[in-house]
Amino acid sequence: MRLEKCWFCSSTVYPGHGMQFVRNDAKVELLLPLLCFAIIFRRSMPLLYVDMQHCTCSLFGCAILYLLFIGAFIIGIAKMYLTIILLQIFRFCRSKCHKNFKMKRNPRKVKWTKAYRRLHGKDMTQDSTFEFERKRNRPERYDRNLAENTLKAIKKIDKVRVDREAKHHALRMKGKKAKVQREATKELEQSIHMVKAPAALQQEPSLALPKIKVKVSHQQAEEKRQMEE
Amino acid sequence: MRTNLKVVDNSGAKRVMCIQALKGKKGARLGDTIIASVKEAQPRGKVKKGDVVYGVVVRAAMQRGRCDGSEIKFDDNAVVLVNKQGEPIGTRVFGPVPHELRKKKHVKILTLAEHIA
Repeated sequence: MRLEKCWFCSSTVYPGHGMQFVRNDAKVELLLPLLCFAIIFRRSMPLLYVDMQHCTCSLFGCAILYLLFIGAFIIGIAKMYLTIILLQIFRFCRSKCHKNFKMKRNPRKVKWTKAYRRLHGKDMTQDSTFEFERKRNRPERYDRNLAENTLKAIKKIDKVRVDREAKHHALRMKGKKAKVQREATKELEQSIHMVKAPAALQQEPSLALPKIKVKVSHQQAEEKRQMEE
Repeated sequence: MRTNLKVVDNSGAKRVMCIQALKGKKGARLGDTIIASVKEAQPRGKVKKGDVVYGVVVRAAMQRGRCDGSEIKFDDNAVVLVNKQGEPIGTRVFGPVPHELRKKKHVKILTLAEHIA
């Protein structure tokens, strides 16, 4: 039993849920050194077969090619392109994600996905607690003690991760106090009629905002009056 | 019936048209055996155009429910030619194949497969 991640929204897909779509014809053209890099490090995408075209390659490429495909002879000095066919299995947690995938939406642009949130800094991206969830392809021999300790550890790690995420969120939301205060005073001035009727406000002066009296000197008042006229 | 399927082994046929689903009232699904007629074949192969052959559906675009509750579907419709006993005619199988073949006792196809999805 393995808990997978939904390709679209990155939530966990528990056994018995969701849909798997196996796509088997993704042709990719790569330069030879890149290809080797892809083969070595792309453990998640099994390689189906390599279709050789344009048979010339550089010296570097030649060495790797010999290692990979024993018996292939390539002579020449030029760039080498190979088309490889990759296999990818898309897992979806629910039909919402599957339907969005069929619409060819990019999860990095869809606001409610984890991909978007991580990309735009809304959620934590780098943390040591994520290392525990990395996919491991080596099966572990069953050991009762190990299993017990792992279960305990899972709980603790979850707690730590949630705390750190909360901290990240708080940090993100910080620095808005002044703005919130200003908005609140403005709303109180302008929309107090939504809360209490104006007639009631006049009767009870405590509800209205205090009127601030500005002291203006006699001369300034005269000047203003002359300007108005 | 009349479904065109891609042949993913090296038996010589390229495209095959289903003429009968051996089991199932509503038609054959992923993992079922069908009787098919070869519509397109490679010039030097074990089967020729117009032959009537048996085949095992290894990939279907229609989703099939797994016993744990999830569903799986593939990109295309593909078949591997077999003989009456269920052994594959070809010696190689291309592309991914599903787990469902194990239950249907097509172990030979599974061993030849590149990737089991």
